[in-house]
Amino acid sequence: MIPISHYLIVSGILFSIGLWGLLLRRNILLILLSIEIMLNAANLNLIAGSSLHGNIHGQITAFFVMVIAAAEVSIGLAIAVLLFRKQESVDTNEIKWLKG
Amino acid sequence: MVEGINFSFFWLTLWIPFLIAVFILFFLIKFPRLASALATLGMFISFGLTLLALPQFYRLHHHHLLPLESSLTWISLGSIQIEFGILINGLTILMLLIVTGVGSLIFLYSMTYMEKDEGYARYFASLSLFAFSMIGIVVSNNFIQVFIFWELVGLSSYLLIGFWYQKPEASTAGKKAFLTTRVGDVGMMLGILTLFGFLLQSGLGTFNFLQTEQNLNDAAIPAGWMTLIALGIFLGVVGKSAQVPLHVWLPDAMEGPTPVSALIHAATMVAAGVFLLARVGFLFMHSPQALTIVAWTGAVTAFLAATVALTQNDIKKILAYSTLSQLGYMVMALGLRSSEAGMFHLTTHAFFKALLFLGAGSLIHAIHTQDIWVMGAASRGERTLLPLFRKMPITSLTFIIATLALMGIPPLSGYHSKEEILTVAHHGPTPIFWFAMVTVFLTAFYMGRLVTVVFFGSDKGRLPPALEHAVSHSPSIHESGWRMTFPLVILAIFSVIGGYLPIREMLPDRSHFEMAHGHALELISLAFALSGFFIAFFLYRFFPSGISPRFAAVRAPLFVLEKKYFFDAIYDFFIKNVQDNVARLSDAVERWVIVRGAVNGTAFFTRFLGDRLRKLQTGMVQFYALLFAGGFTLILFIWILGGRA
Repeated sequence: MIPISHYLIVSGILFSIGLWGLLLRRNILLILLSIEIMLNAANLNLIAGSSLHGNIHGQITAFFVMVIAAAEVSIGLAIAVLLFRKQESVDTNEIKWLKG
Repeated sequence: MVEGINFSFFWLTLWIPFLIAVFILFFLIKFPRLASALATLGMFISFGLTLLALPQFYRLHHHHLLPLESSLTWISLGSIQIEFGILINGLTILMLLIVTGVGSLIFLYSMTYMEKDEGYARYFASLSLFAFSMIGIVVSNNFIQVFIFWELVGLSSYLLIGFWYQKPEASTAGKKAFLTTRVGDVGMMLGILTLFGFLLQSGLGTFNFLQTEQNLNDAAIPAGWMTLIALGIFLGVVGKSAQVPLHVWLPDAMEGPTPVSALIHAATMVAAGVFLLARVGFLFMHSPQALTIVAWTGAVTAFLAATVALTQNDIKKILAYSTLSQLGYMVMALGLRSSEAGMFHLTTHAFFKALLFLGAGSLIHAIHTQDIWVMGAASRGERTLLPLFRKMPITSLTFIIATLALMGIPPLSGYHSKEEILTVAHHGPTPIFWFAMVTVFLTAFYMGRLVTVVFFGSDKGRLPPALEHAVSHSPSIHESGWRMTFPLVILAIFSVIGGYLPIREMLPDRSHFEMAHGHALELISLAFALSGFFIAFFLYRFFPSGISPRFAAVRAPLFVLEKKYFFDAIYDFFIKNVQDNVARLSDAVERWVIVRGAVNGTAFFTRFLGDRLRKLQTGMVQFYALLFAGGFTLILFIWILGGRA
């Protein structure tokens, strides 16, 4: 039996990697990938909790998260395609329309 | 058991003039004849309704079942109820009869007098609005209602004084009247609110007259405050009834049409102040100091106004100053605790002063001048005795009757009421009594001068060349139409018999004088009046150019009188040097502190802050994500720390 803390540590590392990529990567595709990593870190957490407590609530929630992640990726990719069409780049440094 | 009074009569009396005013304003401006007929009819209906209620009133009065009230709750603020109601007692009925009675005669008169005026319909709408406001004051059963109608009267007076607004003098006079009376109204409002505040403190808060009268004994208001309250309300009276020092608007108000002067500035509106004093007399009973000031104000007004009337040459101005003087008498009587004498004189004065004004209007209508010297000379070309009498017999005769009534010649109405006031004054302080007596003489003198110059002038009247020109162009003079002479005759009848009407019996008895008419007093006042009249008669009959060129000694006092005691000059000086500067200061404060400082300052500060803050909006999505993640971490951190603590 692997103790719960191991799962949590792995999940924390995964989440940090995802956050790192989200904040530092400039390529919008890689940012989307980073978000996926963060979501999966959360999923790992949920499933670990589920097995700890011996019920399936966490697993069900993890399924929901996957579905939402799929939806999010499809929208995110659509935005990325549109961005590319508009300014022929997927570099977030180029997206500055919101500058005040 | 006696049945109650039918209040619907009084509600109708109140609202009919208002509805007519609105109707004329909205629908009948283009139909002046219809408008005038409707307004006059409405006024007669109001008068008729009051007359119909008279038998009921007398029955109730006889059984001591008055006063009665009918009221609706108008505004309800927690425990404070503001009513809109009708209070019926002798005072209400008497005043209603005067307002609607004299009012309907003057409406009728106006139909002819104003016939060729462009604003005929507007005139009748304003006049009806005035009638509504005045009736409103009379029937009010609480302070708030009376104050509202008080202001409405001020408004309609403004509209009517400035009726010929094309004339700069008229619109200025309207403004002056409005603003001057407003000075008094501020005092009145402060008085009412202070009174209410004290009543509220004692848990007896009410605006109702009857309840206030009862609660006043339990409320235990400090004497000093009571005097201030009474004087505040009296200030409103000083403004509206044109007492010294707020009297300056009334002579100027003569710029309005003459029937307006008769109705508003002689018979009814200016009497509203006296009426209010009688209505809230119970307040003054709690403050002897305030009463003393009231009495002195009245006496001084009576005297000063009568002296100014001596030197005026405009017939309406003379009558205006005479009105001031007579109002002074009434206020003086009320100040000496005799509301009956004051209200009695108010009633008789309404008859004969309205008659004098309408007579003057008839003369002005025929001769087209207001200058008494031109009037006198205008008819003198022909070689008949007393030409004006021949040409305008009704006007002349009724005018003379009214003059005699005003002078207080027995058995005319003015004699009875003035005698009563003098009796009251005789019981009062001696200086006040002598002010009153001298005013009797002065009244007779200026009326003698007016009548002599206009009706009995010598043929050798020497006029300045400018006036000679006016005279030679005056058209042929003839008597006015029946709608003008009929009111004259009716008013003349009442000027004669007014003293015998059961007026005193209608009023609640507040004064405790035994009205023993000392014959000595009567004889002395009669002697004063007659000597005044005859001195004036001989002086102006045989020295038609006046007395000032002959006697150098009178020039200085005459100058003071011609300048009307410099009241206007002093006010002008005050306005130019004090009020204008205060206004400039306020203007500067508003412009620089409020607008530049507060308003523009806020805007500037906001924009400055925005300029700095917008730098945060880099437009880089990942910067936002960083802030979000950082913020979330911070919150998490604080949460965990807090949870541990």
